[in-house]
Amino acid sequence: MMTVSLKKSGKTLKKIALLSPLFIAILFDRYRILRGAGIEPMFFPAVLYYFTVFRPDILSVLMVFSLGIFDDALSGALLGQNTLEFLLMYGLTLYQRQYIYSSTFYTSWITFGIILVMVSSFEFLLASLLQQTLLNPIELMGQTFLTTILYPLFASALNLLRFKRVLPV
Amino acid sequence: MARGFLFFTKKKERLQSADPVRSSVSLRRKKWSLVFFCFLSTLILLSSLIDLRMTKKIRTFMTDMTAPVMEVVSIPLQYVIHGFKEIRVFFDTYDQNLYLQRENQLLRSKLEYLKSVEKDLEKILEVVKITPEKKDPLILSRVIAYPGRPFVKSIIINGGRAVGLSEDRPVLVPNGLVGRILEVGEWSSRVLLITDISSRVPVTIQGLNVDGILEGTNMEMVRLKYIPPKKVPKIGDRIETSGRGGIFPKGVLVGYISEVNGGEIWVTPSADLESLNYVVLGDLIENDLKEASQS
Repeated sequence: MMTVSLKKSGKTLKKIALLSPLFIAILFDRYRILRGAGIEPMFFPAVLYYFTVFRPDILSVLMVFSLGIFDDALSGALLGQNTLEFLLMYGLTLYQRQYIYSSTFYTSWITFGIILVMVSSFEFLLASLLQQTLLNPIELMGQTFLTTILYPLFASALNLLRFKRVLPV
Repeated sequence: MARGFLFFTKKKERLQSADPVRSSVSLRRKKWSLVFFCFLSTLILLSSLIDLRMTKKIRTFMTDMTAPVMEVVSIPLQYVIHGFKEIRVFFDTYDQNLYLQRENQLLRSKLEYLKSVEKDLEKILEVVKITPEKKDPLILSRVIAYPGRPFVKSIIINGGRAVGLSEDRPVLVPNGLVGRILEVGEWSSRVLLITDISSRVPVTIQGLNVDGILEGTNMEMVRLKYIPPKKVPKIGDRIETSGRGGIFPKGVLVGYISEVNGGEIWVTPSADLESLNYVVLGDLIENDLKEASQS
């Protein structure tokens, strides 16, 4: 009985350890660790994309939804606003997953850029609709561009974590 | 090595490596749960639009729960950011020293003048018998997070109801207004910055004696509205809070006019909202004067 419960808690801990980059990415985005740099990249979309492509088995829709609500609460946005964006990113990536997984890195990089542009456009439209005014999209455009440019860095860091077995694969 | 950087391998090699989760995961399986959670998110979004109290409660609870983590994370990060600043400051030390000496002289003379003004004011108040406005005590708070997205400009500070903070309390730094408290938790609070698109601050242009409303734009500069067309301010004019509305005290520096373009007037906030470490909650001007005159 004891062994079974220990095994269960071990599995839960393993899952938490696997998903820790997602939580860390949200905290990095929310704390804005690169503030003062002018434009900051978005950590979470890159990590979410990576996990959806390589570990969709541990990243359930419920988990994405929970992370979205957590992010909404921290960012000061209306509850559900960022959640919808994350679900859209997750859905779009999952829809193209087989193609992304079996193609070269450059293709997956371009696909990431396209998906991020789509999600950012949705974010801009939703925020403008909620504020009932046309918002200035320049900052978001800059962030989208920078995140796309820096995607290889995020992907390489996560790859290292995965293959150097820092995270339980 | 090739396995370590899977991304940089050729397509053929990638195809050869089997997808470990291919059979267990497909969009078809997750489609309905995705639709369900999208629907649920839309419902939550609509309900939080209708009833903001529920959103506030959930948000303050989550902020309170994550505040200790953010506080721990923020300390080493602030040291790193501070370190970079120190390097920059090191090269400007001589110029800064000269500037500070001049500023110190100017402030000393201003302080002497203000001391005499305060004495006169006390005499006048004695004659007129007006009870001075009750001021809140000063509370110093540390900024623990900048959670803004491009369309939300806010900060999280440590300190909430436990230290006597309440909603709508003005938040300042020595060189100007930062914003006001939007949500108060038990141990943390969210501050809406004056640059946020939903922020409105009643202000007055010093010298012109004209009242207006300062409107956030989600950008570095804020827009000054409702100024009569005949009263055109000059670039560099000082903008202060007018005290109308009862949220912000009168006479707090907000910024300076930086652009007058046709009917549009733009103001640059005097406080550096991108590098806040500590903020003060309360009426800074009154307390500063009191402390200065006592010393």
